Parts: sequence; C-alpha cells; structure tokens
Amino acid sequence: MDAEETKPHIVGYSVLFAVWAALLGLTWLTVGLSGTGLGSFVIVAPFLIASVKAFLVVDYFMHLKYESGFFKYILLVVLGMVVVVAWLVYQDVAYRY
Amino acid sequence: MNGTTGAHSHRDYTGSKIGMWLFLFTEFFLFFGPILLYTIFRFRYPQAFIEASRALDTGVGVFNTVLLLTSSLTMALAITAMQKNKKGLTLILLGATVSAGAVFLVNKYFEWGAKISHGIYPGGEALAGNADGGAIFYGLYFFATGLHGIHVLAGMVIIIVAALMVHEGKINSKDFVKLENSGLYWHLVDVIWIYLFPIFYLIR
Amino acid sequence: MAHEGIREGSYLSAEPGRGWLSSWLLTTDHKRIGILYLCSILLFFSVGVIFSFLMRLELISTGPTIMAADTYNSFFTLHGVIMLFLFLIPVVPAVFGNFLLPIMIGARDVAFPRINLLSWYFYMAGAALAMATLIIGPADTGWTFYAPYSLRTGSSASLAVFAVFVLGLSSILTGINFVTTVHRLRAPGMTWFRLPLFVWALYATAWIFIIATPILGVNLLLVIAERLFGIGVFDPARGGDPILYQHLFWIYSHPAVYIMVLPAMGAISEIVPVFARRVIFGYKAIAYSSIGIAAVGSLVWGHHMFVSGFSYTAAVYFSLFTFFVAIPSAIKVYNWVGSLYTVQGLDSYGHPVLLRAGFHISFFHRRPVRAHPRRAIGQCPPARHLLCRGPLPLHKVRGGGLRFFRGPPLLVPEDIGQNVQQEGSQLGASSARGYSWPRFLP
Repeated sequence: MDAEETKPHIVGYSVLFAVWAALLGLTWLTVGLSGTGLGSFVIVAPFLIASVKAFLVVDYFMHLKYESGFFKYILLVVLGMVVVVAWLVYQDVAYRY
Repeated sequence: MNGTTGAHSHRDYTGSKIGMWLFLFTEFFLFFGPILLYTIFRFRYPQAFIEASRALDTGVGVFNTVLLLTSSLTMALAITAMQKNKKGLTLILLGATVSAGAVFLVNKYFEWGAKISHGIYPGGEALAGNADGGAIFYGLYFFATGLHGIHVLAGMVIIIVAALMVHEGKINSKDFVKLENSGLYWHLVDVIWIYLFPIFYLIR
Repeated sequence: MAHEGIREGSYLSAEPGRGWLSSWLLTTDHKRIGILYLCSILLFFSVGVIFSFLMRLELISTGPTIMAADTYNSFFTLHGVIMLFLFLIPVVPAVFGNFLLPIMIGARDVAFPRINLLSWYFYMAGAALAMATLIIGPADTGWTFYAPYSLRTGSSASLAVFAVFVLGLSSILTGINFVTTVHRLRAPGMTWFRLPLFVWALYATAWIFIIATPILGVNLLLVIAERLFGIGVFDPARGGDPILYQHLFWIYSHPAVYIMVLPAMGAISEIVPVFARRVIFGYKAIAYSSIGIAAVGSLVWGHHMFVSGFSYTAAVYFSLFTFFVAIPSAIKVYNWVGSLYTVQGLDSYGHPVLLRAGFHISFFHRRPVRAHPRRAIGQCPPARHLLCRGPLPLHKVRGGGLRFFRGPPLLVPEDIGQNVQQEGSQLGASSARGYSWPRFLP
C-alpha cells in the first residue's frame, strides 16, 4: 500500500563510476578549502560538502533514488528530527553563558 | 498487498529493506550524539580545536577517505554484478571491499598509535590538566573514530558472511536482498566517515 | 522456520520436533515471545517491588534501620533501573504488542520473527547484567546516571550503564519489527484508518523506540568511555559540560514516558467503545493524536532540566512545547468522554469504565483539565519548586504505567476470545492502587 513491490532497478556500472568520481572531486574540494581562514564559512562549507557527498552515496549507492516514496519520507522524518533536536540543544548552549 | 498469509508465503524484499533502513536510522542517531557534541564544543573552544586538529595528519585522513569511498563503489558494483548474475565478479568486488576496509583499519591503527605514543590520548600526559578544550577534541576524536572503527569491523564481517552466501549460491541473481542489506550497512559506515573526516581533519 | 504449516493444537503446546523447554527458548511465534516477555517482566517487576519495600522499610525511622547507606543507594539505583528499563518501557509494547499486534492487523507473525526472539535475548542479557551488579558491585548513581557523579563514583556504575545499553538494543529491535509489520503485513482491506487504535499507539511507540533509543545508547557509551578513559566531554574538570549529558539523556528518557503511556492509552481506546456499546467517538482524531504525542513529546525533554541551570531561552521553548503536548492528550481524553456521553445511565457502564475514570483522576485530568502537576511542571518557575520534591512527580505521573494491570486484562477477552473475568481487572486495579498510592502519600 505505502511501499509497493517494484522490480529491482539495476544501476549501471557507468553511473556508479560517475558517482565515485564526483565523490572524489568533492573530497578534493573540501580538503582544498580547509584552513583557508574564511571565517565561519570554514565550518559551514565542510558540512555542506559532506552533505552533498552523503546525498550522492544514499541516492545512488544505496539506491534510494530508485526506491518507492516511502523510503524518502521516513528519511525526511529522521532528518527533520535531527534538525529540530539540534536546534533545541543549541537554544540551551548558545544562550547559557 | 501481501495476502492474508503474511510474510512467510513469499519473500518480502521491501519489508526486509524497510527493516534495514530503520536499523540504519538508529545507527545514524548513534553518531548524531558525538557530532552534536563536537559542534557545541567547537564553538565553545574554537582556538583549542583548531590547534588540536592541526596535529592530525590530513594526508592519512584523505587516504582513508578515498579508500572508503572506493570500497563503497566496489560494494555498489558488486550488487549490480550480482543482479546481472556475474558470480565471479561479485566475489572479486566483495573481496576488494573487505580489503579496503582492512587497510582502513590498519591505517587507523598506525594513526592512533602515533598519537598515543606522543601521549595524546584521553588521560594521556600530553592532555593531562588540559581544560581548554584540547582534551575534549581528542576525547571526541578517539570516541567517534573508535565507534566508527567498530562499525567498519562489523561491516567487514557482514560482507564476508554475504560473500560466503554468494559462494554457496544462497545469495543469487534472483534472491539478493541480503547482499543489498549488507551493502546498505557498508554505505552507512561510509556516510558516517564522510562526516567524521571533515570535522576532525578539515575544520581548522 | 516454525511457520511453514499450521500447528496442531494451541500455540501453547510444544512445537513439533522440539522439547518443552526448547520450544519456548527457540520459538519465533510472536504469541510465545509475548508470554516469554510477560513472565520475565513480571519476575523483574517483583524484584523491583521488593527493593522498594525494603527502602520504605529502611525509612521507617531515622538512622540505619535495616541496611547501610551504601546498600540503600544501590537498592535505589537498581529499583529505578528495573522499574524503568525492565518493566515500564517493555511491558505494554513487548508483551501486549508482540501478542496482539499481528493478530489485530491480520498477519501471521511480526515481520522479523527471529529478530523478535533476539530482542528477548537482549532483554534477558541486559536484565542479567543489571542483576549482576548486585554481586559484582552495585551502582549508586540512581537510574539517571547523571554526570559528573556517575563519572567519578567508585561504585561499578559502568556495568549498570552497559546493562541499560543492552536493554536499549532490545527496544530498538522491537521498534523496527513493529514499524515494518504495520507497513507490510496488514491483511487485505486493513487500511490505515481501519487499524485498531491500539495498533496506532504501538506504531507511534515503535517510532519513539527507533528515533530516541540510540541517542540514549551513545550517551551511555560516552559515560562508559569517560569512566574508562576520561574523554572529558561531560567532565567540567576537563572542560566538559555535564548538562549536555542531561540533554542526551532526556532526549530519550522523556519520550520514554510516552513509550510507557501511549500503548496504555491505546488499550483504553479499545476498552472504552466496548463498554460504551458504540464505536469510538473521533477515531481519526485519536489515531492522529497518537502520532502527535510521539512527535511533540520528543521536543519537551528540557522540562526535566529546569533546575539544572541551563539557559532560560531553552526553558521557554521547552515550556511552550510542554503545553503543546497537552493538546493531543486532551484530544484523546475528550474523545473517550465523548464516547461515553451517549450511553444511557451510569449503571450500564460496568466497573471497568469506572476504573478507567480512575485513570483520568490519577493521570489525565491533571494534564488537560487541572493545573497539577503537568501544567505546573510545564511552567518553569513552579517546576523549580516541585521538581525538588523527591519521588512524588515521577511516581504519581509515571505510575500511569501501572495501569497496565488494569486495562489489558480487558483486551484479552475482546481479542482472542478467552474469558478473563472482570475480577481480574478489578484485582489488578485495586492492587496497583494499593501498591502505589499509600507509599507516596506523605
């Protein structure tokens, strides 16, 4: 009903290699940005790049792109939970001192 | 959907994968804790964290990252190969994945060993009496990479078991959900490293 | 496995090809696993009760009466660990959930029967570790293991902490099983809005298991690492922050309150329509309110920390969310009242419904209707007073979980056709009240 049985989607070798190349490229980019002294960007950028890399791994290597919508919804629930929990903890530590 | 007979009348692939994803979410939350603590202390002790991070060897970190990314590739390739019923290729790719994991752990062993021999470990003399955040950086470093290392080890065991099942034909091109779930676990280990690598080696 | 054919006789008779003991210890039948849980949980509950009576006996006069201070502290800790992690958290989901969930949705078993059995073994392993602390060296931290005391105490807190970690694994496996089962194994025609309300409650509970338990798990691992190696994150002497321990602890342990009470509310939602002799009033609202309680209830953990010295900004947010969680709770209560409203004459209720009214008085009316203690604890300033008052709020409010003895005996006749007499429910109710109220009145 919410997660219909579908025929398994075979991801081609070339797609996987392309994703791998992109992951290596992003690793090179994030290492290059390290220690460049760009202020808070130095903290935000690695998290953003890591999230893009994680998205690539989850979407292609873990086949999320080819799964039914249900898998995407529960991932969104989990990510939303993480954001809200982190935000609430920051409400404490940011204003305590 | 499944008929009144439930799970045991036929294999419920989607059900197995839902279970695996839910399990991966719990693993994700397990690592969310230390990463949350890292961000909090990073803002509380910025200078000490930058100093401490500079003592880590980025080269080793990059090498390990490339290793894990490549092992993720071979794992994904192995699943495609299995779906295309190429058993020999699948086994070779699984072997490559496990080897990359082993090399990763060996690197980690030498990296940890070098730090410990300099007294940089929780409770070590280099960090004793250090309350300005350097001790916490290394506390989190050893905790998070150690926990991740245990997961790498567990992933290797799982893949070896899956490879044996491929060899025996219990996993085949018609029934490969166990291989897919092993792969999901291995990719999660990779995703976690994708976050651990920049926070300890790059944010400085 | 054991499910290839329909077994002869009842599920209580030995499985084919197995002896009596092995057909219990190796079973993958959800009903038998439910009974395994029932027996082991009742066993550990009795142990917890014994500890609590010994402690109250000790307090009967000043000075050491029957035990030394260290012994009292270890009993106090173990009583808390047993009652929270071995009894309240697994009792309704693992016993009644395992037993009834597949039956109620028309499935033959849960989605992963062998993992279901594994979760019972994790439960027993965690219980054994907790009991082992009595011999190897008891913890004196209390069940919350608050840093920094838990980091420094000489007692063997690590073992007790690890026991709770293992119990968490058991909860996680149960949660994964229930969510997958509800999504995949509903019988044809059993759509979401035909699910029994007890199943909705279990579904929400299972999500709390999955999302919250690992955060407690990693927190406990951090405590163990801190005790073994001194990693410093919770230790102020090393620049750490013990309040972060409380955050990670209550991110799990507040939703754990809903793990205890949501299935009990689900049971009530099943019992009320039976005795009101009509369909439940506001089915969809009650179903959604289970999810709502699970969601909003995950955002209110800070109200356990009003006296910890954390930021006032956070206290305001947590106070606000605590008020919000009263909304889905009130939706349930008013729908139950609405279900009863149309019945003619109070005498047609039968005493189970009157007992459920006791549920109101001892738990719910405080939340949506009266001020004490839920709204009072939700408000930051009075909580600073109330939370300093020993075991009262915990036992009065969490004692809601004790309604376990009252409600579910009534689920039994409804769902599997066995005739459990009403006296069973009455006995359970009065003994629960007799057990919990007198000891906490002063």
